[in-house]
Amino acid sequence: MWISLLIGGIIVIFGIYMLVTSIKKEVTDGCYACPSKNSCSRKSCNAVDLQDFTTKKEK
Amino acid sequence: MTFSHITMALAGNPNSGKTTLFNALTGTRQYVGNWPGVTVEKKEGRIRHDEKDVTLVDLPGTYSLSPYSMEEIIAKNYVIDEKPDVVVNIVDASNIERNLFLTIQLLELGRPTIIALNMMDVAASKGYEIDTDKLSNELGIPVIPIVASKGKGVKELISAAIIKADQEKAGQKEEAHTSRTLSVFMQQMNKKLSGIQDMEAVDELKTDLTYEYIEQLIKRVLKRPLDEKITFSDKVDNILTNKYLGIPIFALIMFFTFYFTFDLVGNVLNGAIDSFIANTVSPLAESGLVSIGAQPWLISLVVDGIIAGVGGVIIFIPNVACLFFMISLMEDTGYMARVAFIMDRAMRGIGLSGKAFIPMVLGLGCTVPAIMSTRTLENQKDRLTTILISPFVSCSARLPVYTLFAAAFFAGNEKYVVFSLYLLGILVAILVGLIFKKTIFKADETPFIMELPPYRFPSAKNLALHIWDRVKGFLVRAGTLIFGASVVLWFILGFNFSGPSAINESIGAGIGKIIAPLLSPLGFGTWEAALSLLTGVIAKEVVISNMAIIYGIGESAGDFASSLAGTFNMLSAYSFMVFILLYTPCIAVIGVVKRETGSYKWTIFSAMYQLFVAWFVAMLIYQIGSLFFIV
Repeated sequence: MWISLLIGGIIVIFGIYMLVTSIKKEVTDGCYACPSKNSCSRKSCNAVDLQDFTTKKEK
Repeated sequence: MTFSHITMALAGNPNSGKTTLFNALTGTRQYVGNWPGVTVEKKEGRIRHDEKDVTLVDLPGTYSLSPYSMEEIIAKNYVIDEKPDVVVNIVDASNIERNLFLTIQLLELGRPTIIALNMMDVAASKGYEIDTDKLSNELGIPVIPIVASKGKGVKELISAAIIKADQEKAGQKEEAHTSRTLSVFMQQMNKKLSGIQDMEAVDELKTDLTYEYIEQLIKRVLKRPLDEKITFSDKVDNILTNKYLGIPIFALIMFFTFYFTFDLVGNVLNGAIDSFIANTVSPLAESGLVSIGAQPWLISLVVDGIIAGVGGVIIFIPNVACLFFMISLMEDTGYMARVAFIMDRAMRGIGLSGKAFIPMVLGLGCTVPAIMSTRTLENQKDRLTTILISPFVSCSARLPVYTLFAAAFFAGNEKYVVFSLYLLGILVAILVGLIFKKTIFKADETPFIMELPPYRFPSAKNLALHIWDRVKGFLVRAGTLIFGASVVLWFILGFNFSGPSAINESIGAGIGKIIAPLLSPLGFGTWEAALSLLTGVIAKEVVISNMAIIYGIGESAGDFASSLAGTFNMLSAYSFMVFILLYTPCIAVIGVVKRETGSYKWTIFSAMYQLFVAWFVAMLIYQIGSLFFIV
């Protein structure tokens, strides 16, 4: 009984912690799960430029 | 006299190889940091060369320094306000005439500048002969030929930039940073412009005079072959971007994408993962827990909650990977740029800015970077319109939901169903954009020219990295957000305020029952569907976790259809998928809408109007469909 409560308690607390922290990260940093987020050109710079979609104002 | 630290700004046209040079210079030790407080950020890197610390600032790619778009303003303000020790202007040698326009504007700012004449190999393959010494003399600044992609000339470039910066810092600079002929041209131009009051006319005349000067300069420094070859890209573009064939070819390619994602590869692999979870992982976890004497509720938490919830999402990884393989293939070959070009023509026909389609194309992957990419739209009304319509384009997180429902109710025809959903998303986005454009966001059209990159053979390494990035991101989300949501969902579906309860009496069922009546006209007015949609706002994959916990899809995908038979039929299942496609996006997107618009008003509007559009379209589909099909 006690071992079930212990394991279950840990899982539930850890689950709630993961959910809350993940939601927080999702809201503040939508790309949190992306492994390339720190070097992501779309995130940090001109996405269109670096996506091979180059755009230009008419002269 | 030399200085130990210098700041070097990299400026150039988009696609001139600026980022390639930045990466070539910073190498594996690169540090990329975002500067806060600006909308289009600069990238910063540090290198050490000849015992000097060099801070490299990679400015956004621009065609000019006119104060129209945010990236132009950022680049110009940086050079004027931050006064970098040297500006390295990257010029595409195969497109030198257009690139020199920015060069002249940079030289006008009076900062020490050198030219990195990049893509010399491409220019040579076109038969161009550029006299770099002459160009250097004509402009009065060093010109270093390089091939950034192969690292050729990069060391010489950095040494020349350091010498230029040292001269500037030591006060040894010449009176002007340009040649005498260029100074004379600038003086004459300013004289001609001085009497004109209309700023637009000033800009126009300045542009014309600068291009006239560049034209003359090019005649002196560049030898072109007598007849320029029609490239392979030109030949392919004649077909792929053809006025009449362009859109049908794109539709065919998208259809093949879904055929590949489902029939050809995806479903075979996800069947294997499904059976591994159902036949190996779940029984192993169950027997392990039984052997330590775990209580039935703990076994249920682990098997019916966590394994069903997280596993229910993980089984769709092959489909997501296949979709990204195809999308990456289209991006890497250069075809996606053509798609934007084709759609630009179609959207322009109905009065929408063609630029707005580019973020929508990016949205096929994830809406977050799609919304970020709207930063490049000069017109704020166009930008807001694009932010509001981008979430209608189906992101990859919705794919598992479609896959699950399509497999359950449209077995064998998944590709047609999912293709129709992606098509519907694009149509709704265009239609809603048109309504905004004609009503609340009336604005003049902004001119837009697309520059198409040459086609290239995709690198296997790049493709693998793209797919791995997505799969890893999917797994990270499954192990964090989906895991947490599964635990909480298991709890709210197994308990009420008096303790353990039947699922129909649970807290989750109670919440679902409040919303369910609103969904009845859509054909799925049940608490199960309502709760799934509500939790789907956290992340679209959570819809699957919720369904998995409620119906236990871990058993087998085939059983899922019979489990759902009491809740959905073919028509209401399609209506449900349409609702998933169009309704309020996930919290990550809501967060990025807030950041990009800087307004709670637009964020709330965005979430609420999409909910209404989804309700309305799904209701139309269900009600009209009910007239033709027996439900």
